[in-house]
Amino acid sequence: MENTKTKEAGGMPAPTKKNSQLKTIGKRYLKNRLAVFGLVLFLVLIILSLGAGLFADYEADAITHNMQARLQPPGADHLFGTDRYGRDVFARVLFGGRISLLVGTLTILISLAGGSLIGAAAGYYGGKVDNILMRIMDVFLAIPSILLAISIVAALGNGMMNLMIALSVSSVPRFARIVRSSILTVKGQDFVEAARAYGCRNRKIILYHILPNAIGPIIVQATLSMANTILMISSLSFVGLGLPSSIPEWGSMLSEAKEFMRYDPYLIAFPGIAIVLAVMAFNLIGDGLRDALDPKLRN
Amino acid sequence: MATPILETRNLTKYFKTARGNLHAVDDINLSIEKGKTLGVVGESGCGKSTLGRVILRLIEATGGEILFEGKDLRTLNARQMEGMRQQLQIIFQDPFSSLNPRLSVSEIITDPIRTNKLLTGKAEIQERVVELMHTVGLSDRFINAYPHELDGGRRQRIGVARALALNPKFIVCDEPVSALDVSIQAQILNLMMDLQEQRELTYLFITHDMSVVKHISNQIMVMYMGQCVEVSPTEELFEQPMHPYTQALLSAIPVPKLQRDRKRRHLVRGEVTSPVNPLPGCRFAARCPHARPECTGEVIPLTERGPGHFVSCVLPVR
Repeated sequence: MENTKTKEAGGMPAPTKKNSQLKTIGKRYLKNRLAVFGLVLFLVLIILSLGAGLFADYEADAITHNMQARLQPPGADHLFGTDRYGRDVFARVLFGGRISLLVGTLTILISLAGGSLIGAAAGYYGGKVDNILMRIMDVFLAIPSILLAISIVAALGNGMMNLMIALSVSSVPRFARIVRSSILTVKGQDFVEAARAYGCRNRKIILYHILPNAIGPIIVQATLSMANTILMISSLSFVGLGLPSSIPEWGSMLSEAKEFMRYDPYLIAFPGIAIVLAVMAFNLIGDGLRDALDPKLRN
Repeated sequence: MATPILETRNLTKYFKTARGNLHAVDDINLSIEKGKTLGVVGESGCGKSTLGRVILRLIEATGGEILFEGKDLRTLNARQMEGMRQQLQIIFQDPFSSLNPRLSVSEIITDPIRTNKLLTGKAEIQERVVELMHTVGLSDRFINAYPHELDGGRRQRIGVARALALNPKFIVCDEPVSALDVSIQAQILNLMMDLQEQRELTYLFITHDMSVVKHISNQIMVMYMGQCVEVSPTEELFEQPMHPYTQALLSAIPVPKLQRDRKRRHLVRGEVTSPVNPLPGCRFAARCPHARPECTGEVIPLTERGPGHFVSCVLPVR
């Protein structure tokens, strides 16, 4: 390549060696301390929950009832105390992370993909396509998302896969709306017309020229949905449609602990903190990604 | 006379609005010879930009023909049109919205080349990008810069380079200099004229700036509310403007002279009348100082009043 490091007086910063787009974005991301912190936090949570077996035994500590040791405060034996059935809260938080993080992350990714597709098509093509797609989305939006998820799980049956499908479907309309509106703001700009003038196909225009410019609000929405999704899992479990209540999962631990909030607040604190940390990690990652993807904010 | 590279016949574009058809481009017949420039002037909203986009089929016309090298572009299907797009390019007015802020300069110039598969090798493309940047007077140290890091003039040069990347024969220049400082305007105009000479480019040059259009055009078309009211070779138009609207436009050019005779200025009063479902007849009549009863009611055809000088007006030559 012909990139020599030349620097003219008073001019632009000299071009650095051209990296692949991905590398540049990665570099920019790593420069953002908070974003790196978010990523590290997220990785720690993932590692802890995947490596939960090293600290505790799933069957013995997180599932089996042990009524002699119920409601013990945090201490040497039980780092986070025990719940009303004598299960170790520390073990349950660790194992619970597997489901909360996995289902949460996958749900976000699926609904992001689906919502982007629908929203982009509606926003870009406009007219009839827009009307048809968005009216369908409106129908979904009209139903409270929790009810929608409940009816989908009820129809498909219990199970983690169905749970994810239900949660994704119920959050797709929100994504579609946001993607559509950000597409609309970008679509009218001249560079889109220029791309059409040199023969770009619609799909490439949407993916290459429009979506990257509309990514900001989409990422924000995705990170905000994370907390929502984790809590939705627990709501579904609560009505008996998510996962069996014995399976540890942050949201359901939280709702179970409600009754003990007054005298055993640690029960609600630990899963709560876990959710907060996960959501925070997600938000920081989201913000970092948004900034890293925007060339205007580099350095 | 040489055969024109681009011709339009009865080219028409109506936008449907709630109140009726908005006549943005109404029955435009133009023809441009290879290597020449047709300037299109008129006030804001007269349909100049729409005309440019309709010719490139970025907006579909309502009726008429667009003959490029004798072929009617409007009869081509999407695939065939894709092949044609290499020949027809556009340069935009706003150097800020015309470049994708997420792409670097090299990506912006590369994309048309990649899209049309003109070159495939990475090194070849890179070489071509550098060559194009030099052609438009940009230092190749900007190759990895992003548009927001460059000033308006440089950004506009990128826009020109992107248009040139496909070796087009015909370029629609949609007010390419109106968003720039006067000093930069001159640079870009000179660049465009040099390029025209070197590559035998044909321009449709849209502007509202009479001095710019005088500088660059061989022929000028004056538009008013979607219609062509006067078309003429450049010098002829400036020496002998015949349509009252053209006269008004010309007299509005500011002249930096203190003791200037102010009597001869024809300032146009009033607002543009609605372009929705206009009545037949001269659309300028409502604002025209010479309006007569025969101005309205019937379509006033363009008539030849001099060599290559067509005017749509009932007034006799004065």
